[in-house]
Parts: sequence; structure tokens; C-alpha cells
Amino acid sequence: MDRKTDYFTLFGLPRRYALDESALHESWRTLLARVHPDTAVLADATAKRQALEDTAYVNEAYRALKDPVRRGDYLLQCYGEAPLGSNDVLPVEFLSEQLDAREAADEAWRAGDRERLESLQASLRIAQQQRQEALSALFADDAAPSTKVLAKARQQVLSLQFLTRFADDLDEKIDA
Amino acid sequence: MLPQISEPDSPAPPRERKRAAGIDLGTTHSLVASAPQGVATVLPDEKGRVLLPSVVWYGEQGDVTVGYGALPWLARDTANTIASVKRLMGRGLADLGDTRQFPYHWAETSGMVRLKTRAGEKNPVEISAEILKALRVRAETQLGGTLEGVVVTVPAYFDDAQRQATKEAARLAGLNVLRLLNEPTAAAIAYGLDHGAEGVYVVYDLGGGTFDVSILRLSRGVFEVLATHGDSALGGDDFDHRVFCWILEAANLPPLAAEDVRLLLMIARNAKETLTQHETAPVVTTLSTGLRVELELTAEVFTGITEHLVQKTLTPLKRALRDAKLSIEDIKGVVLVGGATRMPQIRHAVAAFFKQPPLVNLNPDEVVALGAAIQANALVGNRSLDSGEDWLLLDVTPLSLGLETMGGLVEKIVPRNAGIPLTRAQDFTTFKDGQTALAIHVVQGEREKVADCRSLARFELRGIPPMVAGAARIRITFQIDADGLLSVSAREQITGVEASIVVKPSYGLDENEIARMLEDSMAHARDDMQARALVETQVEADQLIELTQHALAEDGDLLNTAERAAIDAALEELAQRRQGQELNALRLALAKTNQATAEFAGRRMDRSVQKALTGKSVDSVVRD
Repeated sequence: MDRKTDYFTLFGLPRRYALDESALHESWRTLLARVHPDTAVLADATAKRQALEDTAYVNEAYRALKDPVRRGDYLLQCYGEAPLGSNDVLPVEFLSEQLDAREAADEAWRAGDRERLESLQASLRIAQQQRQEALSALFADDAAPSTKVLAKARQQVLSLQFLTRFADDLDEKIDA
Repeated sequence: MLPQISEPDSPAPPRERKRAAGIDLGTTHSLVASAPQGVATVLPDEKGRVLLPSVVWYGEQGDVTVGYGALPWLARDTANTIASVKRLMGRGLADLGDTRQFPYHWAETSGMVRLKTRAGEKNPVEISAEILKALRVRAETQLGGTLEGVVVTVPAYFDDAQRQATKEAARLAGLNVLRLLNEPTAAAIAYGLDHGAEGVYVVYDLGGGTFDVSILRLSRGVFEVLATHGDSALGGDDFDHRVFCWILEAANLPPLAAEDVRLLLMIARNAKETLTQHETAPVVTTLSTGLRVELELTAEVFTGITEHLVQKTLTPLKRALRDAKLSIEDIKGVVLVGGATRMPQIRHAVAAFFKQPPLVNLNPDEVVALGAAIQANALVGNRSLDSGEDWLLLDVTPLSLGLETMGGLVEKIVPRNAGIPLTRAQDFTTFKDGQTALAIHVVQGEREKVADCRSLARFELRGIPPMVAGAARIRITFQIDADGLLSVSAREQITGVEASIVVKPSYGLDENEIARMLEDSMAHARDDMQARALVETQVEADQLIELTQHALAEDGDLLNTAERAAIDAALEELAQRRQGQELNALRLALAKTNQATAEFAGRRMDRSVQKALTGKSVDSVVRD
């Protein structure tokens, strides 16, 4: 297996944001059935090593494409953009809005207001959905996007990342 | 020898079936199973018994007795009769807490514990190897020859040290380990292949000393573990201990000798087992002091005194469901594994939690060994001989792994429940100018601070060429193989300097510690995240303030009065927020300062380019 193949090609998927999850899952299984270390238990050390590294590569690729934030990040990198990092800055308006929402969540949590937490969670899901739809439109075909489109997409992925972390945090609060 | 070519259309020469076995090395008892004709069966001893008590007696004649023969010595020769050694695997003395709860004589050591016996000092790996040897002899006798290889099962929640210790014990017993397999996954294979199951299943595995829960998706021959959780300090032994405490109290007993503790624990276990079938159990014995104990334990009392233990198993269930992003409605069936799941109160609790009766049609003592045997058979290549369908097993790592970074924080590299084998790399850099070495500290656990996680290994990357702080690119790579074993390597990307380590700590996580760490992790998740975010944001604020002040001193003339005032105001607010504990306010102040200084930064950049060009001829600029 060529471990330099880009993840979309590896799984035989189009290089788009919108994802056919069952196709990805199916392709992941098929690849692993071929390269998994269980197929090389009695083989020599080199073959074992290769099975381990191929499987690790396929697993990493699967994780990158399956996760909505990582998939966006990976697509950006496919087009030569730097990975998301600490130098990225979100617009103050968005941050300020989100910080208010976080404060509301903290308050609801302290008050044990489960209903309020769930309604916040629901509006977060909508916001995440919107980001994902925007990204699907920005990365809708195989053509290389313009710098302007890439900059827009970067903002969408960043805010999706922010929203996702918030949603995970809320999940913990609701379960607690 | 030249390659051989067979005649066209002649049948291929029959391939010889290889001998393989699956071993369940349990806390209370161990088993070996094999699939000699493609169908897995547990292998009995010469008396027809399939369970081998995991008890080792070092006898007076230098002899070693394993299993039923060692049982009578438990209460008679406590220091030389070792039970539940699985609880000591990969552990140091410091991990065990109060060592007086064990009737052994401990040797002084900083590594894995060593027990003083009349046969000399023995560590848990050596003691476990005796159990494995007994199983190996049984299998080789039954199968009529040397084993090609074995699959040995471990609790899904075993950490790296415990897995390494188990593999080591098998090697010491002369076994070729094909794979370490997680116990719930083994059970799922046995159940799934036997019943042609499809869908999402939960394996609830309560053994003698450990509790595991795994959620698997079974679909067209693929066993995909979606999430695993557990409590490595919870098992049937704890139920015995509750009964033991009840006896002490009910019979009003004075402090006991080690022999009597063992005796009462056995009596307690018998009572527990009796209550599986009956409403009451007699608790009758005579202690070494001649004191007579005559009590009766009812099912109702037993359920009452163990209620909190049953409840304790539900928390990992909820967490596993959450990690798998599933709800109870998604679960098609719940498979019970481990002798302790015979207790009626466990079955009731599981049924109530999942709103469906658990699946109990496989023997909970045997199902793990059977699954291991099926996988061993497949791994040595017998599967194709059995015309069985191909299947594939995809497992996960149970606990998060990370590195210590500045400020005693943990940078998670591998999250829990990530599919294995895996490789994860992350880049780090130096903190000081001219730094030539990097201390790498690998930790395991769910908490945000190093002090709250378990230290797995430390190593150093040396020979980094001196550079300014932040210029070096050090890539640290975590790799977990199919046995769940970790290795870590570090490489400076510019010079190619390398260092690596197979994580082999002298001892692993204390079982109480794993449980505590997880409890804490959930209880403190919120505090942790807040604390971490605050520390990080404060560091960021300090950097920005320093950078901006430096820039103002140098290039302040680039700003008009109004611009300067705006930046000063933003800085002042930031400095003020920096002193407080309000994370959100600090974040906002940081964002505002970033925005207020963006234009200034741009102008400074232009000026520095101008400066760089000044004094150079166009020629040299172009040539550069």
C-alpha cells in the first residue's frame, strides 16, 4: 500500500466535503481485511511491520474523513493550506456570541436546568449543521477552489470546531 | 530448494492443520480451549474438569502445584499459596496500597512486586507462568503435540504494563503468543459466530477481579469494537469481601489470623454461589482458634450489602454508550460473561438498564476461552481449511495516552476508544533558546493535568542543535500494535536526531488508581477543562501583552494618536482580565486586542521588509 495516497483516493471517494458514510465504512473494512496484522501473524518481521503500518495508516485516514472537523481540516490541507492551529483567529462577533452561549450553559448547569441545556444543545446542532452545509457547498466538486473560497472554508471549519467542542462539553453536562 | 510446480488439475497437497489454543488467564480460574476440527471446545483435565483454579502452591519438596491440588493449601500455607495473582500483574508495591490485606511476604523492590516464598522470590509473571504451563501441558496432551501458537486474553481495561506482563508470562511458559485479545471481544467472537449475530451488542464482563464492558457492531463477519470501558478494581472478589465483612459483623468476630481470613473468604464465596440457586445459604465453619461460626445468609441481605457494587457497573456502561454515540434502543443484545454474572441481582440490573433480558445461552465461564480458541485457529491459518467464512476483528485502546507539556498539562495524542493498530504523530518544539535536549514524559489517563494521570515512561531526545526557542520541529510518534502495546519515538525533523522507546514501565497502573482516575476524570472534567483553558489563555495573554509592548516601543511612530489610544485601552483591559479568573472575559479581551493590533502588525511587517531591503543593491536582492 502506498502510504502517501491521499485519503479520498485511498477509500475511492470523491474529494468533497459531503460524505457517503456507509461507503467510507465499507471501504475501510475492505482495506483492513487485506492489510490487518491478523493476516500476517505467521509472516516474517518485515511483513508484520508493514501490516502494522498499513493498518495504522488506514485507521488514521478513516478517522480523518469520518470526523466533520477533521475532514474540513484535511480538505484544506489537500489544497495546500496549513493545518488548523493556534494562530487561527475567529471573528470577535462570533466569539462574543459563543461566550454568551457558554455562560448561559454554565448558568443552566449550575441551576440544574436540563431543559435549557437541551435546548442550547439543539440550537448548537443546527449551527453545526449549517457549517457542514456551507462546507459541502464550498467543496462541492473536484475543481481546486480559489483562495477566497479556501479562506471562507477555513472560517467555517474553525467555527465548526468551536461549536463541536462546545457541544461535547454540553453532552457531558447533560449526562452528569 | 527450487520452487515446486504441481501438475495442472491435480488436487493441491493437503495442508496440515496447525495446533493452536486460546487461553483465558483469569483471576479466579483459567481455561484453555481449542478448535481442532474448526469447532471450539474447552479442554478438560484428566478428571474431566475444565476450570483450573488460578492458585499456585510452592510445596515443601521444591514442587509446584497448580489448580485444584493447590486449593487445600490456601488456608493452611498462606504465604506459599498464591491466589488471584492477576491482580498483581504489572504492579509495584506502591500501587497496592495496604499490603497487609494480602497474606504474603513482600520483598523490597522498586519494580514489579516480588513475593517471598519457600521456593525463593517470585514475581507475578513467574507465578502466572506456572498456571500457563499447566494449561500448555493440558492442551498438548489433549491435542497430541506441540502448540504452534496461542491467543491469551486480557481484560480490555488492562494497561500497557499489565499487557506486557501477561505476554512475558506466556513466553516464560514456553508459549508462542499469536495475539493478546481483549476478553469481551473474545466473548463476542464466540457468541457472534455461534449465533450468526448481526447488529450492535454489548458484552458485560464481570470476572473475579475486573469489570469490562465493550460495545461491538457485528456485521457480515466484522467484529468492530465501538467503545470499551471498565473498572479494573471491581469483580466477584469484591462481592465475596462484602459477605466476609458481613460475617465479621454478624458473628462479632475478633481480629483474625491470615489463615482464618482465607477460610472465611472461601466460606463467603461458597455462600455467594449457593445464593445463585437458593434463597438462603448456610455460613458454618470452625476457625483455627476453635471459635464456631454459624450463620445464615439470605438472598435479600446479600442483595442489600452488594447493591452499591452492582450500581458501580452501570457507570462504565453509560460512558461506553456515550463514547459510541449510541443509546439503549440501539442495542440488539447484551451478552453476559464471567462467573460473577451468574448472580441474580446482576442479571436483574442489566435487564432493567437495557430494557431487555440478557443473553445467557453460553457458559459465562467458558465463552472467553472459546473465542480465543477460534481466533487462534484463524491466526495460524486453519480457517481456510474449515471453509468458514472470513471474519475480521477491529479493536480499540481503552485509555487516552498523552505527553506532558509546559505547565504540567497533558497533551492528549491518542484518545480513548481509538481503533488499533494506530500511529499518531504530533509536533512539539523547544521552550528555551539553545535547548539541546527534550524530556519526554508519556502518561495514560483521562485527566488534564499530569499529576492526575498515570506515568508510563520517561525518555530523552538529545543532540538537538542549538536554535532559538520554538524553531526546532520535534515529531513525537505514538504507535499501538494489534496487542494494544505502545511504543513511542521522537525525531527532530530538521536534523533527523532520533530517540525511541518501547514503553516498558517496571509496573503499571494501580487498579484502584485507574478506577479513581476515571471517577475523578468524570467528576472533574469540568474543573479540569476550565482550569486548563484558563492557564492556556493566560499564557497567550502574557505573550500578546509582551509582544505588543515591545512593538510599541520599537515602532510606536507608525500609529496616530487615536490608533495608539485604542491599542492602549485594549492592552489595559487585557492586563486587567489577565489577573482575574474569568475565562470568558479574558478570551474576549484577547480577541479584542488581537483585532485592535492587526493593522499595526501589518504596518510593522511592511516596515521590516523595507528595512531589510534598504542598503542592498537591486542586484543582490534579486540574487538572494
